[in-house]
Amino acid sequence: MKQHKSAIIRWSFLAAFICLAFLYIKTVIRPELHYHLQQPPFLLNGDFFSIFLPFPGGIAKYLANFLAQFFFYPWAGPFIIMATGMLLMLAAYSIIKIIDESATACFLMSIPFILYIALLNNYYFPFVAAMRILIVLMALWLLILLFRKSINRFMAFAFLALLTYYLAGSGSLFVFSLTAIILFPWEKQCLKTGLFFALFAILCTLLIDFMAYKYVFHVYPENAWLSFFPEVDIYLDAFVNYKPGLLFYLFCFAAPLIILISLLKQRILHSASQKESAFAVKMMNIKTPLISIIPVIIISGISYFIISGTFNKHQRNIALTDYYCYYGRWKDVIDIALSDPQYDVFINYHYNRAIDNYGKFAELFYSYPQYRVFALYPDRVTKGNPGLANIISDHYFDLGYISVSQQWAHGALALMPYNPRVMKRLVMTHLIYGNYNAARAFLNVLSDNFVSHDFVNRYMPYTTDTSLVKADRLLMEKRKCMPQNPVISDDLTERLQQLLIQNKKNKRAYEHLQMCYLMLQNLDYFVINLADSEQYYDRMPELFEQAYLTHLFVEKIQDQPVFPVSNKSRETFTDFIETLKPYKDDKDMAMKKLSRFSGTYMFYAFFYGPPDHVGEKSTTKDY
Amino acid sequence: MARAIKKYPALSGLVLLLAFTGCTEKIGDYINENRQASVFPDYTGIVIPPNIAPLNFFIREEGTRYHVEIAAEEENKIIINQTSPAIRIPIKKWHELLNTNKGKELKLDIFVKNEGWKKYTSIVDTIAEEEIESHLVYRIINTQYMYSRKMELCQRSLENFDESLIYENASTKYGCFNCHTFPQNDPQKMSLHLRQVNPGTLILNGDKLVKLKTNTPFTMSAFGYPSWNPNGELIAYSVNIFNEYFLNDRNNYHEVTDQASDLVIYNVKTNTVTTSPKVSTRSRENFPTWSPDGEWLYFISAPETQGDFQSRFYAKYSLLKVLYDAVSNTWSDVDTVLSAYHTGKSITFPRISPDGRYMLFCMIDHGYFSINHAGSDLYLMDFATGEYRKLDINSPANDSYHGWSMNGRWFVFSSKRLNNLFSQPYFSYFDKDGRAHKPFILPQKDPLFYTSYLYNFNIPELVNGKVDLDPGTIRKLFAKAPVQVQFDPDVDVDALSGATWTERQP
Repeated sequence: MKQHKSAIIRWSFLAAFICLAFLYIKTVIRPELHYHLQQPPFLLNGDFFSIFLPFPGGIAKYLANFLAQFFFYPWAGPFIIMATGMLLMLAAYSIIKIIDESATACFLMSIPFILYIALLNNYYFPFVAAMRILIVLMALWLLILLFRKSINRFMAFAFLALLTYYLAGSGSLFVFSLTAIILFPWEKQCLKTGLFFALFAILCTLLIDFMAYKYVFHVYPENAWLSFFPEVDIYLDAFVNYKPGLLFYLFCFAAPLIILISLLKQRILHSASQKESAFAVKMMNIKTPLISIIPVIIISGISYFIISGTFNKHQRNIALTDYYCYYGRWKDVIDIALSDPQYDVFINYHYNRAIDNYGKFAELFYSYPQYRVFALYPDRVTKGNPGLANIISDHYFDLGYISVSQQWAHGALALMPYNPRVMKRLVMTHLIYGNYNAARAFLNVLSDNFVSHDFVNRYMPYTTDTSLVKADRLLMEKRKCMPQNPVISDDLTERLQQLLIQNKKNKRAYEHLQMCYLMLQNLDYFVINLADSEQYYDRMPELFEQAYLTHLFVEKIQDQPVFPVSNKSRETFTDFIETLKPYKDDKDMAMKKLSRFSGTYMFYAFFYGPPDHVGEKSTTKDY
Repeated sequence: MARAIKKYPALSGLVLLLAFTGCTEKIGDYINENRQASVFPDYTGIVIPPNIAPLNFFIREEGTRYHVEIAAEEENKIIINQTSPAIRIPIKKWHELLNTNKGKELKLDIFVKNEGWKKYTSIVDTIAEEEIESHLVYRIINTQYMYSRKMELCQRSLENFDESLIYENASTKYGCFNCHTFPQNDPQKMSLHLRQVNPGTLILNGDKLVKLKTNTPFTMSAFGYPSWNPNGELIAYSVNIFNEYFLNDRNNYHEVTDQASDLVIYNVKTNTVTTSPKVSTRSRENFPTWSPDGEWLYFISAPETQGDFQSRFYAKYSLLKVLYDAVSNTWSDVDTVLSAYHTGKSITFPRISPDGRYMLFCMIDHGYFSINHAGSDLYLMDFATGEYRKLDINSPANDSYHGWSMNGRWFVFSSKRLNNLFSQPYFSYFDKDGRAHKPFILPQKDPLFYTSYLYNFNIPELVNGKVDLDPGTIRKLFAKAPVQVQFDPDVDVDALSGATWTERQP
């Protein structure tokens, strides 16, 4: 009866744990965000598969990429993660059960899964890490079964060590060997045999690593002995942005960890029962169901502590803004950006793209803190971040500067080979350019990608029937925008001017140019260009009015303004100046007092000068 | 299985019979289709080397079954009958067929079954008498060069599909590397330059591999574009100050130009670098190439830049030559071989045939970096007549970097004709009358390989055998300090206008 109650508690805990985990994964983590940021490359063809074969750990990476494809679908992703997690638990349970037949196994087995969920809070967490640990646990499980079947232990170990190394890599082999030594049935064997097995396991591990590195596989020295990252080096994708921490390594070493905990627990209980201390007697007399509740509380506490500790809403917002931008949910992007108290350059770019596409660029530009002029010139920020390469490509695609968009998309492809998002962008740019054979090359590759079939079905006919291209409004609109001057300027204002020369109706280019002058505090040029604003607006945007008033104020122009300015803008401007006056020598205090003007041009101009230089950079390089 | 066969021999026999019948379905009546079947890659009407790997191809015709017969005058006919349109020719039979039919025609008969069988007009190729080099060395690079990232130097057997790495940059921090070159297609000697990360020029000379630091106070940069002298001791290099541009041109995304450039000669034996005012002028000398006798150094040259974009970007290069006597270290006066003024175009990548009679080169509208110019075409100059002509084998897309086989009957070149974006290596038979025949693409095991391969095959170089180098060996050398090359003390530095460019800067 007591055992029955304990079992009910255990299984209830497990059921609740699984349900909560699923809900958390589905609603908070949202695997589609993982897919969106990482875009795991996967093609269903032999050539792609063969890329993974010559690397230890390549198979785990291939499997991970295959499964991670389905994160694209909002329901499939949580199911796959749950299935992987439950397999981790099952394997862990089977291993622990051998050394500890008590109810504790039921709780200890959840540790790898808890760590796994916590790690998934990071949107760059490489799914392959879970695959690798799963392979290690499976191999250990198999090893224990073979141990029991009185199959030669040395043979069994050597075979599984080799298999683990090839499937999951050197780091996994290390974890496997370490755990195998701990798991060796020491109590049933003489010490000499045990020590001999340990020695054998160590030598075997070193030998496999060495031989593979030296003679068999193309392994880099840094990956030869203890690597938890894939040796398939061209697939660095997510790892560029992933910085493994303590939790990651705890997860990698989850197998020996839970076994050690189990052994430790047994040792404590054993020594307590030997001493027959009052505490031990008391513990023994406690009713079993109560004992069962203690691990539930501990595990629940640990879960809460680890998972909530690793959850980062700001990081999630970065992922969400990128995701919503991709799907054109501009209002959602704006809302998230404005509700996040922490500044982020990625959110800044997504926000700008969103207000641009939402038609509120000139209205809402200063409502989010702008990264000086770089907010309009992302390619000046850095060259090394794959995520940024995509953003830059999207930025220029929206503007209609297709050559720059394509240049950065090719750059992104170099960093993230076979990335579906990048290849889709390249299909579009090559279609706009009229390079149909090049577009077809990318479509051919995408046709082997599970989640790109709709895209391929839509655009493949374009490569043979150009009337479809001509009927496509987006492509034709972008085609009209492409500048004709031979060389892409390094000066952003020149680029935007070229866009306007090519297509006077390119409102985005106009707004970006004007905003660029504002960010550079080049009000003279801004005012010269104001004359064209009537082509784009019935009424000048307030930000432009504020900038115009600032110009009049700075230049001390008393005449009637050439351009009409609304009373609201005049009042805001006057209010700003009046409020500023007493604090103009105390910028910090002024900033506090003027915080209600934070969305205005005056606020930016006064508090965020001087501007950055965006002139021509040297093109000389050692080529 | 064996037990089952023993137990039910009749049944097993029947199953086997059915299985074999299914595999080699016979063609009964068929109708003639009065055209050739569409195949990819285009291997129709070409001349092929007798030692080339099987020309696997894909039949682009709708069908439920495909039957291909490959035959020549002598026996050894190859028959393939299958449901897949991807034809993979058995390598052993292929080589037997080619070897016994050198100089003869190779006929490919394609039958496709839809409702009934159709026979297409035969594809007729020619098997040349002359073999091509056993290996091709090329660099695998991304397009547009925004990031160099993955770069590999590969060698591929032309007789089968084996490919191996000579070097890859992932293990050396993704540093860029450039032009590999061999003297007389000899795989025992190679020059390769590593850039950016732990830079240096690698020289493989037999079993000796060294890494050199090739900047000197008297040369404007490290070694650039190379050419080995056939004697194996001298290597001519350009030294260049580069500019890089990204363009709005749909056919040419990226341009590299020079602010300044000169030529130098490196002596492998003495580890010295020399030059002369003849090849280090204020003009921009570039792309050296030796004549097969090793005496003449051909190169291209454009006028000095005027410090403006126009003169830097739109420069036109002429072809010049100079006689160099290695023993006395003396240079003749420079001759103009072909002037850009006459051609109206810019000349680049000159390569002389092993018999010294012909020169292959590219012409483009401006500059020298032809690999990105869609308008780049291959031209042939006949030294016997002094005339030059555009080759018929050019495509509307980019056709550029080329190299001769040592028997002079083949040349390899890069072309972007498949998709105007990625370059692939093509081979052309060059007959005794100086005619280049229809080129064919490097065969791959998977016939559809090129439809979805997203990298460039860059700088294809033919070599006679395998290069005995691997990434591990280069990786070991990578971190070591390079050996400094010595500038020739006999060169009158003050007399130079170009090579001393950096020395004389304030």
